[in-house]
Amino acid sequence: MSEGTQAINGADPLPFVKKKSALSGRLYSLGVLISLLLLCCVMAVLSSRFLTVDNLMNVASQAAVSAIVSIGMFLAILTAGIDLSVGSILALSTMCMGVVCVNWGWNPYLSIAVCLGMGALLGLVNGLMLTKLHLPHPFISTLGMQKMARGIALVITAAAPISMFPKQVQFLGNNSVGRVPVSFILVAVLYILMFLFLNRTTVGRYIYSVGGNKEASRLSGIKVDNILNLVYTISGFTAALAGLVLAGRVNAVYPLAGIDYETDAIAAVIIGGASFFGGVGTIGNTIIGVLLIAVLRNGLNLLNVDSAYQTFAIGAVIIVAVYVDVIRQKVLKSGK
Amino acid sequence: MKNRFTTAAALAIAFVVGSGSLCAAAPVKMVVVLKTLSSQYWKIVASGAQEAAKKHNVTLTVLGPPTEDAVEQQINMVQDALAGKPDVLIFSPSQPATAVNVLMKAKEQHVPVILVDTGMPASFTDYATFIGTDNTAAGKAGGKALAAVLKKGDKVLLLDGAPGNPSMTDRVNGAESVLKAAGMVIASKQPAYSDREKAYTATQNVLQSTPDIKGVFAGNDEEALGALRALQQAGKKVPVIGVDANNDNLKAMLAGDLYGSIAQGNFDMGRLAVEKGLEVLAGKTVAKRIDSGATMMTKANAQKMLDFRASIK
Repeated sequence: MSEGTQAINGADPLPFVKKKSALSGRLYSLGVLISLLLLCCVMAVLSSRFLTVDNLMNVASQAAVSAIVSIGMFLAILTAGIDLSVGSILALSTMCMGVVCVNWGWNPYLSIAVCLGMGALLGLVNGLMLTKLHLPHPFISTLGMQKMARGIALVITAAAPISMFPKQVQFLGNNSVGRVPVSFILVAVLYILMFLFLNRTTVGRYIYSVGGNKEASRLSGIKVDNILNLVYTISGFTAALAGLVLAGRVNAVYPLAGIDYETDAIAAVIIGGASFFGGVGTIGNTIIGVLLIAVLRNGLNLLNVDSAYQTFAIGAVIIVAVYVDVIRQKVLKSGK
Repeated sequence: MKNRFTTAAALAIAFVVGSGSLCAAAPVKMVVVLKTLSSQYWKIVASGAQEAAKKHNVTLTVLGPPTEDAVEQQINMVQDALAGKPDVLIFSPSQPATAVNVLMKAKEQHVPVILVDTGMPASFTDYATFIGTDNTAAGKAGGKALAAVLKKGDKVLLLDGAPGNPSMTDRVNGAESVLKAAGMVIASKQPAYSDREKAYTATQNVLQSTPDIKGVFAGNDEEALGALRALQQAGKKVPVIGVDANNDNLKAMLAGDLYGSIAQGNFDMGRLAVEKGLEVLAGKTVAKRIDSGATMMTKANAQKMLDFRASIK
């Protein structure tokens, strides 16, 4: 929450953005970054293969899908919400793309547009269930969407995967510039755009404000419903975009894609220091959370550690990260 | 000149060793990536591979995601495994269509690929050999065993795996063809996602609409036990046949609850994978498809299988 709150000083019209002290936010950012670097050092010591260019590029391509899903998840959590449907939206959007592109022979770019459009549409439906049907919490609307979208994804082709995509569809997931995966460049661009959007545009600041205090934001004239609809639409869109990268990576779409991706994304956002109560967190920390999980998995693979321990380790990291934050807040309070 | 020759020879030797031919100095490095390591079936595949590796002095690494549907994670593991430049990759794809790109990488690196349990789509042929059960044949064997204890016109329930899982579908279709030919009626065919609880629910539901089910064929043993439980609760004693011959199922056969199960040669799959890997490295010709066999297990031979398993680990 460092850069974010800084921009709000002075004559800012949005007094409802939660002001975690700038110093405290910086400290946490630094802490997460140091943890990531420490983890890298440990892995490098334990496995001589970790710090090779090949392997680091592997990590970059492995983290890409989760990194893109996490952008939408970050926005949802920033508005004190959650999006449990990202994995299913990823599956349904890509299955639709598979049907129009491979089975019906549509133009590849049009097929990509169908994928991304479907994701955004499903996300918008998530938002509308919240703002128009007034379902009590996005946990419910997106849980419903998770099941519905997964169901449709399984029905479309009687659960058969679709493969053999044209080059254009595979580009984001399967190509490299030199040795850098295109998917990683995409992630970098998306995170920079999202940083600028959240911190340098009015709508972006509104998102923080709605997350900080919905009622106060409404009273000050922010169209809260529109902001929430936008947030869930973006989350659906990023899920579909992640799906496009995944489809390119494996040159196939399958209806069971994306299972459990929501929990990895939530984990990344939480490790990145965002608060479940909304209004607190930075997009920059989210990518560090994503990388932390990716490095952990990759490193443990290199060390031949059973994946059951990987799952355990990620759980432990979530608890430790949040607990450290709790302690830090206590210390800061008692220091005042 | 002589010096240059020695250098060249040394380089040549280094190359041969590096490219992993059968050289006593450097043990062959193989990586096994399975669908998961968290079930008995896959643990047995792994132990078969480990036993052969020990015998032939192969350095073996075994990886597998926490669940069979963690497809992307499995692809990541193959990628990570290839980064370690193994001599042979032994691989069982969870979703075969998704593995094409990563296996192309293996080809680029000249790492021979041995597929176990599950093959790749027909259009993909860049692998050394595929060792696995002929699932249609296994299903037929199960269907035959079931047909032998039923009468013409008896209603049978078939439990399939997750939609899109070809091994499960082949088994169920194999059983279906034999049962139909023998004059049985297929009352219902339900996806049960290879899961005990889902098979339990599916069987309960089918018993509502068709209470006079006379036999069940399930694509795997977890499903068979789920179906058995639903039947027992409905007070029915009908023959249930699964596939895999898991220990729980063998015990249920000995207790007289479960009729039978088709044992896949999963231990042999692992063992053969390592042995065939060595043959490929030695430049021998290896058949493109190797059937690891299937055996019908009933009360009669269940104890023997349990003893064999206890002896391996």
